[in-house]
Amino acid sequence: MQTLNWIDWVVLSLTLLTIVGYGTWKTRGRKSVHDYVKGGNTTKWWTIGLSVMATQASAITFLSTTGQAFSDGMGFVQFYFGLPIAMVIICLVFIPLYHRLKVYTAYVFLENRFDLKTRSLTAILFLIQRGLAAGITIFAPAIILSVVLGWDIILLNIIIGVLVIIYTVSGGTKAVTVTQKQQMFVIFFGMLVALFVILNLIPEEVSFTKALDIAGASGKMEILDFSFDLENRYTVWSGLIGGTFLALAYFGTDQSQVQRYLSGKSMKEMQMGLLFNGLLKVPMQFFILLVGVMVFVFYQFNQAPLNFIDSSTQKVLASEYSQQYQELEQKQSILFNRKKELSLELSKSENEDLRKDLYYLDSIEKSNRLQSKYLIKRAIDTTYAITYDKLNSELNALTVGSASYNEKKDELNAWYKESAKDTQTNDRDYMFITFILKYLPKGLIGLLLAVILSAAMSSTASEINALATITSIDLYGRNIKKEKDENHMVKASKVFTLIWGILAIIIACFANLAENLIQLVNIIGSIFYGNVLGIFLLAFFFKFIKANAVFIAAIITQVIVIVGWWFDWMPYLWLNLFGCILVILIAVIIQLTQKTHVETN
Amino acid sequence: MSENKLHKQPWLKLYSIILIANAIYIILFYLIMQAF
Repeated sequence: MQTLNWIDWVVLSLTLLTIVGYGTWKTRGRKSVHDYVKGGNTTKWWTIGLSVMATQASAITFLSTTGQAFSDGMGFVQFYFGLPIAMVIICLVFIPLYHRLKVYTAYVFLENRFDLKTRSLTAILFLIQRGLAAGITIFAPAIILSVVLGWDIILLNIIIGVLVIIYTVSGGTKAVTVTQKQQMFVIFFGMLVALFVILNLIPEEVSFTKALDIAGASGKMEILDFSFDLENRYTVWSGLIGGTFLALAYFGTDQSQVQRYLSGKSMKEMQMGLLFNGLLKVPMQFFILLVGVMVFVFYQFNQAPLNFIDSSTQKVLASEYSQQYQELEQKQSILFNRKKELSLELSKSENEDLRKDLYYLDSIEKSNRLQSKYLIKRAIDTTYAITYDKLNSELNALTVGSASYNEKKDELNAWYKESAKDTQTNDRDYMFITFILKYLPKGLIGLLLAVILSAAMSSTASEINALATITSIDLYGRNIKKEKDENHMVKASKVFTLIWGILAIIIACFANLAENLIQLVNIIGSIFYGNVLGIFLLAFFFKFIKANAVFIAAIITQVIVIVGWWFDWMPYLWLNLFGCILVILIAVIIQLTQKTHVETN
Repeated sequence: MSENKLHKQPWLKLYSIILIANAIYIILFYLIMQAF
């Protein structure tokens, strides 16, 4: 367990408190609903761009993405290829309509086009998925920091949540935007310094291009995958097609993003802000992944632990599997020395055989890491161990090479790999923070922790700001309390911001770590986004579709998508496209059937 | 309602720049992948 030096505490506390204090002070005073919800329409394009980026970049982005690069390489960047295309479509279609109708939320448009129940349904779908996501946005860094630094997770959830609540309740949208500008500055500065320090920690004889060469030899520079395999989560095609739909739904219909650009000074400023995001997002993600890959290269010369979750390692070492685990550590140690020699050799000379050897050794390391997860899982979960042993003995009773033998072998292998999915074995999200705490100098640790917490705060602020706006404008203001004055609505928005902030903290306190945090947020998004996007596309492009058809289609689609996700019909990214097409198809069928029915009668 | 209708929007030069930049990113990544 690590403890922070006082310098780190000073850097961390000063950075966070300055941002919170400045955001609260800068946006103090009385406000109208227009000021509170749309920031008085005074935001410039570059602030919108930074705000949109800060909303998307949560702490998960920095902890998980770097970990993903460390274990799987740079391929995750493909996920963002559709984003610039979506930005252009939103500038062409969504923004002009939102601007002309002078809407406070994206869903106001749906009432104009369809009816109140469709607006309320999409608002409720948003509240469900974004409310859960807000909790995870706080929980993700809190669980990791609590495990690594020994901080109390409940206290950490409360601190992050309360800091966000202070300025978001007080200043509304304007406070969110003002603070996000500073948070993005801290994030960019911190990550740049981190990359510079990592490069300095790599042996002098290994230049930057040689470091990339070493990463490439271990398969970490396989950035693009042009295969059409649906089983591959990240390919160029899933990024361009699925990614476009996801980004279209997220930036075009998710209020946490829509509210950022609705605060723009003019339509032009809103469009420029989104295009700024479209231009910078892909290189930014590439840069974060590159930091992860450079940490991988660093660990080719400095031995990494078999598992980055120290508490899990302690558990397996205290169990009956201690001997096996220590033997595995020794094997890994020998492997590390061999890999180090080869990496140094590769940095001196170009040799294809060396690259092949490194690739082969890296595959052994991957298998060692999986075995470490298997041993930890056995140590912490007796049911898992019993099931594994049962499957193993069943396999041994079968004739080698027979069909049933092969089937059982596959089942056993799948169960073996299942061990990597446990919250206590899956250490991907712990890699970067462990590296920061162990190898970065004093002061910089505080700065990088500020980066992680700033990212968590900026996303959470946008989320609870949007959740409160939807609750007060689309549900409370429209359905329950009609014709209330400005003061009442501002007060109501503040109360809803406070309530959603508290709810986010409560969800964070009850959340459980999923297979991978960044994926969990994307999975939740993919389940709801396709349907909501489909409703918006029906509104924009299918003039003959009426309200009832859309409403029924949306409910049927949501049920089918949830069933599809539960039974794993397809990789989750494709659920966006599936949900979107499904709601359009069902709505068209219902509309045509109704038309025929009316005509027949 | 006429205000809900999509009016034809001008294609800005910036849209082309963003899409071309995206294509350039993909080509650059391809070249980086080939080099390393």
